[in-house]
Amino acid sequence: MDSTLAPERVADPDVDENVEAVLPWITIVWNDPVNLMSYVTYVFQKLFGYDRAKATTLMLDVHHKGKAVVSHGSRERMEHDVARLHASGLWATLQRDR
Amino acid sequence: MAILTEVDGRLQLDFADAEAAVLGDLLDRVASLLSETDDNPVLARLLPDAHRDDPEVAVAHRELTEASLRQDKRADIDAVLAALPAGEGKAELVDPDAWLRALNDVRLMLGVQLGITEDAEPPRRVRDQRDLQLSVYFWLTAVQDCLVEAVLSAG
Repeated sequence: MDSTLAPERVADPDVDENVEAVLPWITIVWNDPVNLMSYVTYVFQKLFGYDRAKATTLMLDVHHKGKAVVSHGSRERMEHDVARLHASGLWATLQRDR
Repeated sequence: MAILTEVDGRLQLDFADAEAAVLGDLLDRVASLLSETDDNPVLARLLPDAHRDDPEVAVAHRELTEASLRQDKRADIDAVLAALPAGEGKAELVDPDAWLRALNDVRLMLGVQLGITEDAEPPRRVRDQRDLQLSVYFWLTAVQDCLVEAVLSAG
């Protein structure tokens, strides 16, 4: 466990910092001109269990902003997610969250 | 090509004319590329780097996953090839997701080879080999799109 995490109870814990310490990696899906919007949405639902609305929002981010963060977690977990996305033909990468 | 849904939710594809043969040839081409180890632009898209600017992470991921990724893609292709009719006729989609992935890999291959961009359009007339390949690409795009809808409705 990261030694910077204070063991004592704090009055006003910084939730964001704690989440970052526990979930330091992210999986990003990038836009590409071949993958269909319907298929990308379906893959997000299927692989991550996201509901239709969340999967559609992520797909639209990929389409309009060029990329979207689709999952957070340990590096091992993100390696797994990227591999599954590659198996489905999506263009995915992992990186440290910052 | 028509997508048929059985009462129990099972899906079938009904292939007309030479559609099954055309799809079979394209799947063979993807399978052949997947067996290669040299760098080529199609493989770079089918088996992309897992990190944009950290080669160490990308190499580590490749060592961890590339062999099984090639195998999984090959298994999807083999499942579709085994179900394709010899000529006209129906194919049962035992695992529709395998079909979606295999169709997508064919489209990724054609997309790289044809230089597909966001504003690519189907050719108005087929005058050369490129127009023909573009027509096939957009045909498979329509098939995949319909299949996604069919899978969602059947599920």
